[in-house]
Amino acid sequence: MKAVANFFLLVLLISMSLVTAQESPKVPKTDERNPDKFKQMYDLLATPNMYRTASGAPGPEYYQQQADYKIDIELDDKNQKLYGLETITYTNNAKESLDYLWLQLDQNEKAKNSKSPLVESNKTDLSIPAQAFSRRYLEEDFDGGFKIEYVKDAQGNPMNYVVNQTMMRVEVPRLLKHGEKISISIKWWYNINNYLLDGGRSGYEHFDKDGNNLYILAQFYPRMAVYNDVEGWQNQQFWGSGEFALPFGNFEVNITVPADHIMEATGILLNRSEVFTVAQLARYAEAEKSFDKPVIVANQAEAEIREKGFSSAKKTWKFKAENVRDFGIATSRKFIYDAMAVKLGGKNVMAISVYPKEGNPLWEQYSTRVVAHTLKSYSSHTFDFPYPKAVSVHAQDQGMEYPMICWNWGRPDEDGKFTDRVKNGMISVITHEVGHNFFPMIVNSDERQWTWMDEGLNSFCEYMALIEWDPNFPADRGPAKAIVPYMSGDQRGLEPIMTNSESIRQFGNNAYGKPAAALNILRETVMGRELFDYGFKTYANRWKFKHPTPEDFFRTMEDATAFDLDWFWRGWFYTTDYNDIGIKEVKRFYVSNEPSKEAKEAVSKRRRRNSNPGPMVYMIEEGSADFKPEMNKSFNSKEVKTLDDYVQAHFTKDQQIKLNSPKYFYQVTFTKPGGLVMPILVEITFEDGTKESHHFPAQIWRMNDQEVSRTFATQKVISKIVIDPKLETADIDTTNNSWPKTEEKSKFD
Amino acid sequence: MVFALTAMTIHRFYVAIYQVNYVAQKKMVQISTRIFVDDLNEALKNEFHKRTFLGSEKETEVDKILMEKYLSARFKLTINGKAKAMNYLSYELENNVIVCYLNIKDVVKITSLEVENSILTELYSEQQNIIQFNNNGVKQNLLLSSETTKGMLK
Repeated sequence: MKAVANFFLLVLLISMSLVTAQESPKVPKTDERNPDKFKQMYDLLATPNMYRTASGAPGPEYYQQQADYKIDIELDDKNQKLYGLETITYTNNAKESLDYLWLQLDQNEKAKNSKSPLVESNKTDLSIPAQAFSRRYLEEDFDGGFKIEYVKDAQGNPMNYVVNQTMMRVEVPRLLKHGEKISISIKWWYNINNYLLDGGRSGYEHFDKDGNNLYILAQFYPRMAVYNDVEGWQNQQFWGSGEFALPFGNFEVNITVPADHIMEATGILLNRSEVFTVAQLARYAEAEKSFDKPVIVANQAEAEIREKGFSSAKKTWKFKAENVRDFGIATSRKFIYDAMAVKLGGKNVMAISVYPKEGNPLWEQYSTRVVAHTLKSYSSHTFDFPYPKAVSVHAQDQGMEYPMICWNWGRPDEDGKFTDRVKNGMISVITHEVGHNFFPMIVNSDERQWTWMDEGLNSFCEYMALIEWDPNFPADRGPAKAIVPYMSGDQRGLEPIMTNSESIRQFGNNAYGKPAAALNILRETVMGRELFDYGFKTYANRWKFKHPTPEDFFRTMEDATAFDLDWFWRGWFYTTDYNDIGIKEVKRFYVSNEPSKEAKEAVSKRRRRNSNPGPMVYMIEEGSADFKPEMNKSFNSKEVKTLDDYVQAHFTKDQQIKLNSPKYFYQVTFTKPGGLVMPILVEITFEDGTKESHHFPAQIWRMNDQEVSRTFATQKVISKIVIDPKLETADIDTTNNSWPKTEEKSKFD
Repeated sequence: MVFALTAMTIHRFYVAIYQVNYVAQKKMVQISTRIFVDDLNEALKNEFHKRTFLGSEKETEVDKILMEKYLSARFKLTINGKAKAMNYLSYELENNVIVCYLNIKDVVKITSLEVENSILTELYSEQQNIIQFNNNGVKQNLLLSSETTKGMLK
């Protein structure tokens, strides 16, 4: 792809740079009744079956495929090429037989004949940096993509295969039946991309000063696609936005690199004694016992010597990983290495960081500590981290996740100085990417279909982890109010969360921010922490090491909590509606012996005139025709004869003492200009400054989608009523949230 | 994953939101701009060759003046065919975002609004500037970028 540091996203964004349609997006609601808002989602969800139950759990026929890999790769550091040979052992656990297999060749997204650049609209830049112009119009395209040398079966016979863009179909010689395994050997190589120039989630960064490269290698081998009960073979190409869908398996990977490299990768390092120095081995042993701070295993002074070496000797690092869906590698002469141990569920996990000296002093201070904190925080919200380690790699401008390893940005200035913002950005991204171990590396949703299932859930957990790290952490995503600017935009410019990964315009707000805010609102405001946390944990535990769909998440959250959330999923995930609830009016009422004119008429119109409901108590609205100034005082039940008679006749003296004695009556009418149904959070402030809170569940809107009323009987005069005082519900317009209508302290006057 | 496409950045997406609300009752256009503060400091450094510290303790009066200068040069509104100057009122920091408040007074009606916004587009080719226009209750969005820095709302 011809592009400077602006890969697919640039063109994607540019393609959106047009004014949306002309007419007003806001169709005023005319339907007072809108029972569809609370209708169960039979119209939207897939029908439950034996694979996936209506409870949201895997069903009795649930199965998943297994793909085990033995891979040998060699890195040519001088020419930035990677050579590989792999044997995939694929097990068909489906009841049906398979007549072919599909593999993913994600590197082909960068091939010269890639179609990814061709599906992007791009106009002519009016001004463009010379370097970008040269790369786009003068230089030859980067020659990326897999060069497949052969595909063979276990006997060494060539197999038939066809490459369709980023996917490869391998035909099996005879049907692969239930329970059968097949082995495929593939040999390939490819040119590794400089991701700062050509973009990508992996590749290398070149350091001009010392001539070294820092490699972050991923999608480096032909990977099995997912075959399951929902999609059959995953058949969406890798266009660039929708990430990956991968089956679980066991990996044995031998990686040959220059002898002076330091490496980290997915899995357990089997030959540490062959690749570490004696001193490094001793320090690593120390790190395995250090639970409070990282131990530097390979220090900066050593790295600075190594980065001058350019050894022509080679070393092979051997890794083994069980039950992972993918494999990532980071290798460079420049790496500093530190580590510490984390106790989780009675087991020790290693938190590790590798980074070039350019990352210091920031990285040695924070990275490994943040990894350890993230593992603890996420484990407490889901399940104990099941893998033996988690590694944070410093790679300029990257934020990308793989099992047990991830790439993270956050680089100080050249003089080693960094602002709080660089530091906080780095802490956020490490938390986020390490957190991805849980979603989607273990709770293995289909990223190519649904970005929100991993990014949204992960951004939500990231927010919890950041607030646990520092209660005042400046988190951009998670708080309800943070999503208000996005949700208050013209709805024609938005799309629902339930939108395919490739068709999302504001990726960050739609797939990360909005689901994170939605889940945070569920937890803090709609359901409460206890119910929510039980449901969320149930989902995570049901689907760890499995392939969940959105239905499985929606259903589990309800099934485990007896909390019908169809209205919430429907509004927040399937529409672009926003929340706006306001106070229309507040009316004060006085209790009277005499009926108002309206009340009298109502009685005379009653059909069954002879039916006698008993003596009546009458309420008179302040300011109405029947209101008299002398009524303006606090209520005393003694002064209303019918009521007093009733009380005397029905309650003993002792009982009467325990009765409530309200003094003031207020009828509050709430309006809902917004399309979402949400709970009404009401804060009442009394004359003496005391406050009282009321929470009316969203179901209050089930009979009337526009307007509802509540009467408050109080001991004290109300001086103020505010809806959603703590900004918990992403109400996009707070100017209608107060009574008496206070002119919001405007920043504009 | 999280996106980061250019050096010097620590947040995830290049998006700034500009809310332009016309309040007929007050005959006022109320404008708020939400820009990542580190991007803005970077842009000021690029434009004026001076390091600024907006949003931190080291912020100076000169920093504020430069910010105003930068915003007014790159963010312009034309209402009913006439260029209108915005009054810069105040600003505040909300987490990593700097929010500026501006207004235009004595606007009787808006029949057309042309927005020119090239803020940060000189720095980041992937910058997305989202204009959310609320014309006395009628909403419209406009998406501007490094390639399209001008647009019309009617």
